[in-house]
Amino acid sequence: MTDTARETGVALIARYIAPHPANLGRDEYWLPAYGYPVWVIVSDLAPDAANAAAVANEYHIPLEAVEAVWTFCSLHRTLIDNRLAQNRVA
Amino acid sequence: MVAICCLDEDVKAAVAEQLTVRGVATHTTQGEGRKGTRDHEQLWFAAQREWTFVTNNRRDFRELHGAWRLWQVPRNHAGILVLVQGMGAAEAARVIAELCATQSTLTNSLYDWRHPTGWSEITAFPRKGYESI
Repeated sequence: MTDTARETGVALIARYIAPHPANLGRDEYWLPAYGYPVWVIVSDLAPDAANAAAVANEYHIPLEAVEAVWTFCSLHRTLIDNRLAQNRVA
Repeated sequence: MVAICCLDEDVKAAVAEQLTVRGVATHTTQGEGRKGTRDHEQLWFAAQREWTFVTNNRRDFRELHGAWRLWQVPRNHAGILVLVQGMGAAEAARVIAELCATQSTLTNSLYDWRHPTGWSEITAFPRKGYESI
């Protein structure tokens, strides 16, 4: 990710992503405007995010919001991967 | 059975649309103005209305379901359906509708969808030993 792309991504995170009011931890951050947790959107994204537009369509969210999720995930990959793993093995 | 579904905030909007197309009455957490509500409050809200709760959050709702049974909550819930991560909306709606059509009741049950086996009812608690306490 280039510096410019990262700056753009960080701005999108600030616009779309925030701590969840009930569930603590960065792995529970959500998109307050839409109600979706980050981890669930990530679970639908292909490894290269090539399906971002389709994901945005199914969630009824802007493509920018998916880009924010993708950037957030790239910054907190281990946390999100752990959350997804916990969900799989529960 | 005729189920009325309540979708957790983690279930994508297109699932609600697809369920409606299939004739399944559906409410969403967002539509009910309950975004950001705690999981146990969500389940209680659905149980009070006899709505079957649909979620992607296997980790937390298996735990809640286990607690509900262990503590013998004096109210039934109308079923919890757990979807698998990465499931498309059309497939999710199809399998939910099929389960609702084939089960006589979902009361106090948790059904978990996995590829390739499909739905299975979870009767064991997610952690060891609760039932023998």
